[in-house]
Amino acid sequence: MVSEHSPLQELRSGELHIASTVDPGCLRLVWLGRSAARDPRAVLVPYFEQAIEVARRSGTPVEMHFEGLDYFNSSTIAALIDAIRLGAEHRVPMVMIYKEDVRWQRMSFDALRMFTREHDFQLRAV
Amino acid sequence: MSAVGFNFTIDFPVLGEWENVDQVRLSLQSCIATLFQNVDLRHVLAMVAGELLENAVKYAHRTDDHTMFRLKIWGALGDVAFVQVSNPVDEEGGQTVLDAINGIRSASSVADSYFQRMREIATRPSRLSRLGLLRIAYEGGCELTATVEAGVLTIVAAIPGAL
Repeated sequence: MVSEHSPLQELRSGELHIASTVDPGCLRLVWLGRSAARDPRAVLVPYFEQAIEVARRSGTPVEMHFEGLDYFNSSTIAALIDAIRLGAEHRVPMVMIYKEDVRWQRMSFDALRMFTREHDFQLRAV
Repeated sequence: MSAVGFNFTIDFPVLGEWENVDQVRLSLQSCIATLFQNVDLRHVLAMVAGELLENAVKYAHRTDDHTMFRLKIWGALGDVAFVQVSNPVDEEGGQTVLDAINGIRSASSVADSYFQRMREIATRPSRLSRLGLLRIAYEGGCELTATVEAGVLTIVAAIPGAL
């Protein structure tokens, strides 16, 4: 699989780092570090909007990888719900990938599973 | 060697600034690594402390730049653990938190309340997520209690049988 440099820049905010690459068939966003800002939506929502626009133009889904993320706070969960909503509004499929054997990731992402029924949104445990 | 029944207490003041919350949470996670081998349990305790401290920063009543909170964690290995955060509040802030906790305690299903709040966020995005206390109850499996006495709000999260 060949990854290309993404037209979307990486995001660095506090202890959070999101790297982006264009893979065949998806725009991949890899979350690393910790997301514990007071208002993460202020930074994340504009970034999601850019990512969704890049994916929409190339006709690919957005794949968010959380396997390497150490922690996020509850305000970040609200931002992820925004990402799901924005993806649906722009008809860009959204996939979130998490680690099944990490309890906090399993609990946090399982709670988002209800949105898979209403939006073009998938959860994938690895 | 069994550690069951070994009592522990961690008790320290925190300057009530947002930047300190993540540092305290990380420090706590390292500190309790000396007590618990279970990584998931360490994460639950640290998450609960982090969310309670974030809540305190949001709702604290500040009289000066040096407003202090108090974080206390205690329990016995093999039994229940408690995470407690105390901070000054005004009447409105204290009542907001008490109402939120009463709502969680009286809900027939914490999970349903958590999912309902997520649906509300999806339909009406807001700067305040109001997910923190629900996350503690749902994800941490905690029972929450709160009191306001002499202008100080104290929230206690009990993690039953988790240790």
